[in-house]
This record gives sequence, C-alpha cells and structure tokens, in this order.
Amino acid sequence: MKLNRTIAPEFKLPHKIPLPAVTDICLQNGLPLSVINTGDADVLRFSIVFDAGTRYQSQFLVASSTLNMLAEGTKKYTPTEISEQLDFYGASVDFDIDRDWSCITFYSLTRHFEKVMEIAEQIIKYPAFPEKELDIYKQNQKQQLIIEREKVATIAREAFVSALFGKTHHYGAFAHPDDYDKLNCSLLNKFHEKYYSADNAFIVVSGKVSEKEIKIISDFFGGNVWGNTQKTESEQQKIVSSPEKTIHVPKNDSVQSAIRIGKILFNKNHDDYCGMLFLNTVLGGYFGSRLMKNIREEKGYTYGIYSNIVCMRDSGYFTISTEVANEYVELALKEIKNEILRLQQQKITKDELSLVKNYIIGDMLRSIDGAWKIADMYIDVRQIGTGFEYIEKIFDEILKITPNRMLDLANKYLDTNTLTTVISGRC
Amino acid sequence: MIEYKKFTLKNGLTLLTHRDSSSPMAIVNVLYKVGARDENPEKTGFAHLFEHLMFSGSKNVKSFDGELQIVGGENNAFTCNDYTNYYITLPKENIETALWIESDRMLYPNITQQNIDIQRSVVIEEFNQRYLNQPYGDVWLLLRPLAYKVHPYMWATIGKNIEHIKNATLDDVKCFFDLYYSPSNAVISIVADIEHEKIYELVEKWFGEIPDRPNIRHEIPKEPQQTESRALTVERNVPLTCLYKAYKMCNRENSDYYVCDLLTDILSSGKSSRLYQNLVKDTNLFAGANAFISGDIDEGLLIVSARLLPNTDIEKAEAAIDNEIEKMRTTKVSEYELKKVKNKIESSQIYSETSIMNKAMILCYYEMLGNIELMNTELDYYRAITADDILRVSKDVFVKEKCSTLYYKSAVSK
Repeated sequence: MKLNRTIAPEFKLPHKIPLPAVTDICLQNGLPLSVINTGDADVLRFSIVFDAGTRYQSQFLVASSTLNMLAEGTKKYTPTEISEQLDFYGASVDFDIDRDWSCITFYSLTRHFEKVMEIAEQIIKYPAFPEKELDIYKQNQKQQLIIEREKVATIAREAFVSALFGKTHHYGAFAHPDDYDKLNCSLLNKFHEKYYSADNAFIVVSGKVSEKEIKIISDFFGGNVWGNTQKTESEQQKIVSSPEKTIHVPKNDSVQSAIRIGKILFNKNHDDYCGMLFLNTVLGGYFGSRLMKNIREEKGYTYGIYSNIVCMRDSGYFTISTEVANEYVELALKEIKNEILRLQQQKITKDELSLVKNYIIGDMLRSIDGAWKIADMYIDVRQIGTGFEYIEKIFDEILKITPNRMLDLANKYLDTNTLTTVISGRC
Repeated sequence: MIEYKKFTLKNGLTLLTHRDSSSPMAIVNVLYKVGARDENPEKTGFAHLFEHLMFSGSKNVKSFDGELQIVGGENNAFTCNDYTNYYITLPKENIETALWIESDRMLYPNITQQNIDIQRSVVIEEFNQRYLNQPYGDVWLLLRPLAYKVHPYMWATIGKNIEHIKNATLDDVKCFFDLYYSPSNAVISIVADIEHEKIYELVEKWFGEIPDRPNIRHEIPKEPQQTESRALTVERNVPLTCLYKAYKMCNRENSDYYVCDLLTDILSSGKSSRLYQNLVKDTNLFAGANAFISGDIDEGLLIVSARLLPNTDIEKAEAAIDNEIEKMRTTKVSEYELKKVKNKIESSQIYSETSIMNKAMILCYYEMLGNIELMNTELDYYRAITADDILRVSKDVFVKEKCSTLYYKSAVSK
C-alpha cells in the first residue's frame, strides 16, 4: 500500500497527566519531607527550600549572599575542605533564590549520599561566613553584576519591574553593584539565624530513593529542632506603580533595543490564573504564538519575542519581552499593540484554541522528564501550598477553556492603556 | 549505560532506539552530518541559515510547528561546527506525526525566496543579539580566525561575515540540501516507551521510500601545525578585561582527547580546582578563571580564560596563569586529584542520562562519531588515564608556539 503523505497521522492526547506518586513524611522535628521515587539511575537530588527570599532582607543582597556563602566555610570545615569533598564525591550543589524563597540543591550518586548529606548538614546548619571568603565573593559578584547590567535585556527588565511595583517594594527593588560594598559577616549571620531553621523549610528528594536514604535525611535534618526561628512576617508593603506608561532607558552603544511591556496581575491561586496562562500562550507563550509568527516569522524584526505570566507568592505580572534592532522599535511596538487588540476584538478560532490546548498539554507532559525536573515541578506547587493536585486541576481547566473566556480575559486584563512599556537601547 | 538497538535502512539511514518507561513523551532526534566546517569559505553561516529555513514547511506539511503543536509536540534545532541537530518532543502515542514531518522534510522541503528573505533578517537579528549586543559576545568571532588559518573552524556557525548571509540565494539553498540532507548522511534516534521493533517498523514506513543520494563530501582542509605564538588585542566597552589562551589540541578520535578533558577539569572543574583555589582565591587579580576544551571532531582547542579584576596589570595576571600552566607541564598531579576529576566525569555522565532528551542526543552524537559503543565505554578511557598521561599531554599541548592569545581589554577599567 502506497503511503499517503498528504494526510496527517491520527493522534490522541491523554485526558490525565501521569504524575509520579509523592510520599509526604513529617520528620520528628516537624520538618516536611516529600519523596519522589523515580528513574533507574542510581542518583538522587535533595532540595531544601527555605522561606527566606529577598523579600525578607532589610538591606540589598543580604538574602542572596547569605545563601551563596553557606558553603564557604562552616564551624567544622574550611571552604576548601567543603569543595574538595563535594568535588571528590562527584556531587554538586546549586543555590537558587527568588523574591520569596531560597533553595539549596545537592545532586549525588546514591552510593555517596550519606557523605554528601553530612556536608549538607554542616553547610545548612553551621555556616561560618568567614570574612576573607566574603571579601572575595563581594568582589567577584560585584563585577558579575556590573557585566550583567551592561545588557539591555537586564536594564529593561529591572526598569520594568521597578515601574510596576515601585523601586522600594520587595518585588520591585534591584541591587546596585555598590551594594556589595555594604555587606558584612554579621549581616549574613543574623539573616541565617533568623530564617534558616527546621520550622521554616521543606525538603523534596527525588530519584532512586529507598528507606535507607530517607533514614539518612532524617538523621541529619529530622531529629531535634534546629535553628531558631524568630521570623516575623515581612510587612505588606504598598505597591507604588510608576505613573509613566512609557519609559526610555538610554544605552547608546547598543545595537539592539530591549522592550518590555506588561502590567501587574496576580499569583497562581487567582481564579483567572489558568485562563491568563492560556491567553498568554496564544499571544506569546510558545514558538507558534501570534507575536512570534507576526514579528519574527513574517517581519523578521527579531530573533525572538515572548510573553510570560510571572507569579510570586503575593502577586504576579504579565510581560512581553523582545530585543529588536533600534530602528525596528516603533514597528515592533505597533505590531504588539495590534496583536493585543486582535485578542480583544476577535474570538480565537476553534482550530487555534485546540492547537494551543494541545500544545499546553504537551508542554505539561514535557516537564515530567527525569527526576530533576519533576522535583522542580513539585517544589513549585509546594510553594503555593498544594501538591500535584494543583497540576491536575490546571490540566482539567485547560481542557475547558472557551473562545468566549479568552475574549473576556483579553478585555478584562489587557487594555493597552493599562500597560507599561519600557525600552532600553539607543534613543 | 544506555541500552539501545541499531537499525540501518536500505537507503542508508541509521536508526537508534532506546526504551525508557519513565516518561509519557517520545523524543525524535535527527542529526545531519553537516555543520559550519562543511561550508564554502565564501558562503559561511550557511549551515545555520539552512537550519532556520528547514522550518519553512515541506510539500505535504505546511507548518511543522502547527502540526506538532496540535498533537502536543514541540520542535527545535541547533547547528554547530560539526553537525546539525533537529529534535521533536511529543506524547509517545503521536510519534507518527514526528516521523511524518521529519521524513517529509528529508524528502521535499519547501523553501521559497520569501522564506530566505525573512530568515536572513532573523539570523541578522540573532547575530546582533547574541554576538554584538552582549558583553564579550564577539570573543569567538575573534579567537577562531586567530587560532585557525586554514581549517573552517576559523569561522563561527553564525558565519565569518554577515554579508555572506545577506547574499544567500535560492540556488545555494537547493544545492546545500542535495549535498547534505540525504538519508545516508543522517542519523535518527528515538527514545520512548515503545518496543524497538515497533519503532523500526514505523521508521521504515515513513523513511524507507526516501531515495538516497550520493554523499559527495569535500575534503576539509587540515590545519597545519602552529609554530608561532599569536596574539590579538582588542578594546571593548566591557567592565572587565579578559584573557583567552587557546592551545591547539588533538582531534576527537585520539585517546589524548580524554586526557585534555581531564586536565582542564583539574584546572577548573568545581571550586576545589586549581584555577579557582590558586588564582581566584589567592591572588586578588581575578574575578574568575576557566579552562575547557572546544569538543570538536577535528583538531580542536584547549582554552584557558580569565576575567581580571579592575586595575589589574595584564602582564602580572598572565604570568600567574602561565605559572599554573607551567605546573601542569612540570609536576605530576597527585593520585587524589586525578581520582577526584575522574569521579566527577563519572557522576556527570550518570546525571546526564536522567533525561530522555539528553539520551536521544547522546545516541545520535556518538553514532555520528562513527562508534556508538563509545558512549558506554568512554568512561573506561577516562578511568585508564594516569598522572603520567596528564604530564605528557600537558607538555605536548601547553607550548607557547601552539597558543593564540586574545587580550580583550576593557575600555572602562584600565
């Protein structure tokens, strides 16, 4: 039988998302431990998340520096001893921080897990913050930040988020390289004392996890209460958005300009989150999006244009971001506006709706690739106070999205008069 | 350890399958054995531009993206100096959609003058965004032609000169396709929770009828041995002065390749490494230092790079780096240090095999090298390396006359 290439093969999509089972354990001291046993390789990922993001710092860079300096010497080990041991056991450690949370992740072969946890315990509970190491850190990080702030994308992103939340709000503030000069060991020590404790954390472990590894975690982190939480809720700061709707930040030696457009929305618990996630995908959330088709694939103004829904614990925002040649700025802005108006005026077709639906479903399935990514996914839902049932809920809601809902949301949230535009480049 | 099955179709297409039950997704990865090193020196950047054009649709599939998105899939690609790699991820039930698309693209791509005009413009913006408008974005554009005088590694995948991209014609595109996009010049790997034989059947169904074309590969000119030290100084509007020392090393087939890899790990893998401990922490001259190999198939580069703190004397900094390099040439590494970098190689290999996407790419890559078994036996080569090997190869590689140095000076901090 001759193959008919003109007809697409049949396809089907799952009605449920196949998430791995999670076992939640409460350790003796009350510290929650979630275990995701998945994969064949003899490896583990251990993440401990603290409610210790930058929102809690009283001075710029204190939260991130406390986190990044944890492995730079402890009461028992010198910084060289720590890095020697981690390197020798083929383990690695990552430090991540955002506005709300900080996270320390260890990757380890199963056979070295106990040794790695012994070091992890020292790093997390007993850091020493030696002055010499802090000086090196400050010096190098400062230079790193100076380089980062040469990029128009960075300049535009910072100016944009500051315009939305206000320069002093914990979601809108950005450090200056000179802020590194103001750090000292005692600031870091105090921050660590205040926020790095058993009752301000949760642990997610994924990979090949047996009773033996759970016992190890429990021995190092789950026995007595450790740390001494004196946490006070960070004050609810008032959002002070910039009254200017268009902001230019000149960078005259730049070949391209970075554009950011958007507004404040809400966090992931909002009723319209899923709908806006969908609308955002239609507009600029994937490679086949309207913005990408129009501005890259039809006009060739840019290498890429995307939109995003970014969520923090208490708020969130919508943003469109791109980099275009300086001379294309006005044309790109015009097309972006046209695409938003089109969402407000015309119902999206059934075809596009089902295409985006299927794309999002595929994207959710894609995030279940391996023990590392699954852990990220779980930490994410754990931070909004749920478990994988949240992913299942979003999955079901995606299946039920209608063109009318899209039209309503585009009008409710994307009125172009309410959007803030930031352009950084040659003016 | 990746278990796999290898099949060869009558038209010369190689298929590699690996079963993984941990994911609901399938990966379909197609590698074409063509990269920037195969380009005409007057038409550089072409392999990469062509990769962009390969997303323009084919005779029976108008929009690859559209057809994939509707079945929950996504695709992308990248071009490097040695090869071009296309990949699709989609729910495993829909794997035939990926095979339909990839086979139609191999049969009848549909590239028009209009596609060329648009993608040319996109690539120029990519050039601006990634190479010109980033601090240090043009380092490789400077370092390559300094280190290579004959071999096509002298240009980056984006091209030697953006004019080359501007001049690309429809004829060039057709000719490139005929030369390089034939079944026997491709390798396909599929990782999914599907039986090997079933995958083979489906691949045979979609790709079996594609006629092979002869592969006329032109000889890639061999870079003559470098016999003089080279240097280039540029000044840029960047915050910190950087230094790049690029030494010539062996090709991918040579077992010394692994020795080079390990010796750069000794220098800079992890915070316990020599460059971090001895240069960044102890001298107060550097904001960062790194050593790595370029990983090319033909004779590649071993690079030692450093970022200097403001107001650092560049000669003093270079002397400190040279001192570390000299130690590698004259003193044997300890057994402990050797064991440490070997452990790290082993664990990073195991880590990389936790992702189905990585596994699919690993399969195609090693098959392209001409020895798929290597992906599972390579670790033995690393394990066998001795302190004497490190010393011998250090002596051989770290020679002034084989080095090209780029002084990338900050116009701000002098």
